[in-house]
Amino acid sequence: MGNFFEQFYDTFIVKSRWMWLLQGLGNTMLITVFAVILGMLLGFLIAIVRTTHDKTGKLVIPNLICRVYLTVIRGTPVVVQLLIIYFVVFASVPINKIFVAILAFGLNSAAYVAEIVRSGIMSIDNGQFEAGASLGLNYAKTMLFIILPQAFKNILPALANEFIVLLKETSVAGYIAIQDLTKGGDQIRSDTYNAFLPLLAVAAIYLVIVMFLTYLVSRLERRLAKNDRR
Amino acid sequence: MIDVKNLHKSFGKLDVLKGIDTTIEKGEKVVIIGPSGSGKSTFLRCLNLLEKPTSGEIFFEGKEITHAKTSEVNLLRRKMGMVFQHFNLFPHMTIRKNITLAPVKLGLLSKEEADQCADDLLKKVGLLDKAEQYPAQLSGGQKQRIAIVRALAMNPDVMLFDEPTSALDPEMVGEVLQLMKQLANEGMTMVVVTHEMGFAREVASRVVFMADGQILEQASPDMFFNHPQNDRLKEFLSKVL
Amino acid sequence: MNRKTVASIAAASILAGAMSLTVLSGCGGESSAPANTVNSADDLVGKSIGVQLGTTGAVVAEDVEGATVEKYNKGVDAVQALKQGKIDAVIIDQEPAKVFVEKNSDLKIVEEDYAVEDYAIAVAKGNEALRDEINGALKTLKDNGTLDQISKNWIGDEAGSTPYESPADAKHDKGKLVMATNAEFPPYESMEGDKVVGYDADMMQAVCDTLGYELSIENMAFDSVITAVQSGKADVGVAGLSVTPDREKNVLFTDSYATSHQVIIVRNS
Repeated sequence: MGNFFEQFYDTFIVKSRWMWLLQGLGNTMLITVFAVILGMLLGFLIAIVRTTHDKTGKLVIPNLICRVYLTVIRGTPVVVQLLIIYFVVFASVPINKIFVAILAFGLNSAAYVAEIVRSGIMSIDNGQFEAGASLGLNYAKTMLFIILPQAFKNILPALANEFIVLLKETSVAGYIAIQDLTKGGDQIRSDTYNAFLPLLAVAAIYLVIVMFLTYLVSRLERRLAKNDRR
Repeated sequence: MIDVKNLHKSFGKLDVLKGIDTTIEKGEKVVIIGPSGSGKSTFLRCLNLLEKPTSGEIFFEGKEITHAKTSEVNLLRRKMGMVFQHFNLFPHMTIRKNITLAPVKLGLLSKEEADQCADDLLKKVGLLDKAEQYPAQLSGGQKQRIAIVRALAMNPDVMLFDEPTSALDPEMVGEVLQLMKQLANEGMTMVVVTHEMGFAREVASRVVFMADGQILEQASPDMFFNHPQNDRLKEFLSKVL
Repeated sequence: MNRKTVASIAAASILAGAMSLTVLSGCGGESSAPANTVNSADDLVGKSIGVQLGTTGAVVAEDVEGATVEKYNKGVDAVQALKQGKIDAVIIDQEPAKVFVEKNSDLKIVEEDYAVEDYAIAVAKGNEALRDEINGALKTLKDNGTLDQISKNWIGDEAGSTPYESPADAKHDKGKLVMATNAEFPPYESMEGDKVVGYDADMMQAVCDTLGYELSIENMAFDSVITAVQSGKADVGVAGLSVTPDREKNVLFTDSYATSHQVIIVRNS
C-alpha cells in the first residue's frame, strides 16, 4: 500500500502533474459544452428542414443538402473529420485548435442530433399539427409552441445520451495537439512511464462527469414528466 | 356563409369525394351522417383546408379559398373552429394555456385578456377548477369540452365538429352533446359529422346523408328521418335506428 | 429509392471534392505558409513549438521561455502542422528529423544540437533477469562491432551498405521475445511492406540471436509501448525511448544502445 501512495505521489503531485489533468478537463469541458450547443442548434435546424419537407413537400433543395450532410458526417469517423478540418479545411491558416475541435465535434454531433430530433418530431401525433393549424397558427408557430416542446421531452434521454457520447468522443482531440483530459493523462504517462494510474484517473474523471450528467438529466426528465401524471 | 361547388378529393387513386355541392347559411346547424368511408370527415376537413381539395371550389364568406395562399388560409382558419374526434389537446400545457395559446401567440389578445376570456368560457362549461390542470388529468368528456372551449376562444364564425363523441365512453357523450346543444341555441353556425341520430333529430336545421363521396339526400330532420326518399338512406336508417 | 441514389451520388461527389481539396490545399499550403522566423535555439522564445508527445523534444520544449508547446500524437502530424504554418518549429530526435527533411524540400534543420539523450530498451519492473540478460548481449554486440555495423547501415552516409544478417548458427530455442514499438520513427523503426525495419529492429534481432530468443515485433501507438511492457503484453519496449529519472521509477532500462540529440526543424523559406 505504501508503494501505491508513493506511485500516486510521483504520478500526480511531483512537478504538479495533476495540473495536466485539470487543464485537460477544462479543455474537454469547453469543447464539449460549445460543441453540444452548436450540435443542438444545427441539429434542430436540420431536423426541422427534413420534417418540413416530409410533411409539406417544401424545401426540396435544403432537404437534399441536409441528407448529403447526414450521409457524409455519419459515414465517416469523427477523428478523420477532425483531422480534415484541421489539416485540410484550415490548411495554412493559424487557427485556434479549440475552435477547430468545437467545430468538428459540433458538426459531427449535429448529424446525430438531427436524426434524434426528427424521430421525435415524427413521433408526435399528426393531430397536434392539425390542432395547431385549425386554430390558425402557422407552421412555424405550431412547430415552436406545440410540436417541439413535446418532441423535446420524448427525445431528452436520447439527446442526453448523445451529449455523453460527445463528451467521450472529444478524447480524440489530442490528435490535433489539444491538451484535453485524455491527452493530460497521456502527458503524465509519457513523463513518468507509469501507465496505469494516469489511465485510471482519466477514466474516473470521465465517469464522474457522465454520472453527474446522467443525474441532471434524470432530474430534468422528472420535471418534464409532471404533466403526464394521471 | 360557405358555398361548396363540385368538390372532388382523391387520395392517390382513391376518389373519396366525387362532386359535392352544398351551401351552409349563417346560423344553420348542419349534421352530416353516413356510413364510414362515405367521405363525410374528409368533406369537413376540406372546409378549413386541412385537406386540400383535388378540384372544385369552396367560397367562405364570399371568397374562394381553395387557391388561397398559406397566410390567407391561416387567417380564415381563425374563423372556423374545429373539434376533433381525439380532442388533440396539447398535453404539455395546462388547460388555461391550451385555450389561450392561439389568441395570445397570434396577437389577438393580451395574455391577461386571454386568461380572462379562458376563465369566462371555463366557467360557462363548469370546468373553471381544471384551469391549472393538464389534459392527462381530465376525463374524455372533459377533454372534449375543453377542446370546444379552445376553439371558441378564437371567436369563430362557424364551428366544425368531426365525430366529437366517437372516442368517448358512453356515459360521457351526454355532457359533450349538451354543450353543443347550448352552442346551437346561442346561434352558432355548426357543421357536425356524427353518428348521434338523437342529436341530429333534436338540434339540426338540416341533415345531410353522404355515401360513396356524394350527398345523396339532405332535408329537415323531420323529412329526413320520417320520410326518407333515397334507398341507400332508407337502408342506412333501418340499420342505425 | 431514386432519391436515395441521388443522395449517395451527391455524398460521393462531396467526398471526391474534399479529396481534391486536399491536393489543392497541399499545394497551396506550401506557398502561403508564413515565412520562417526561427534560425537558432534562441529564436524559439515565445514561439509555438510542435513536438511528439513522449519524446525528449516534448520535455525540452517545455523549458523554452514563453513558448507554446503543441503536443501531437505523431511526429508526422507535428511536421504537417509546421509545413502549414500552424506552428513555428518542431523539436524532434535528430535521425527522424533527417528523414522528414529529406522527404520535405520545404523544411530544413536548424543546425543546433539540443538535448543529448540515451536510447535504451524498456523492461517491466521486476524483470531484472531479462534486463541483465540483454545488457550482457548488448556488451557482446558492442565489443564485437555488430552494433556499429547496424548503426552504420541505418545512419550516416554509408546507409544500406552493411545490412545485419542473423548468423547461420543462431539458435532460437528459448522461446518468443515480444518487442513493442511504434514504427513511425525512421530510421530507428518504420514499416517496409508489412515488416518493421530499422536500427531498433536489427539491434533487437542481434540481441535475440545472441541470447537464443525468437524475436516477434508488435507495432502499436507510441503511447501504448510502455503500457504493453508493464502489462506483460510485450517483454521489451524499443522505440527510441530515452531514459529519465522519472521514468526509471516505473520501468527498468537496459544500458544505452545509442545516443541521439534533439534538433529543430523549421520551414525553408
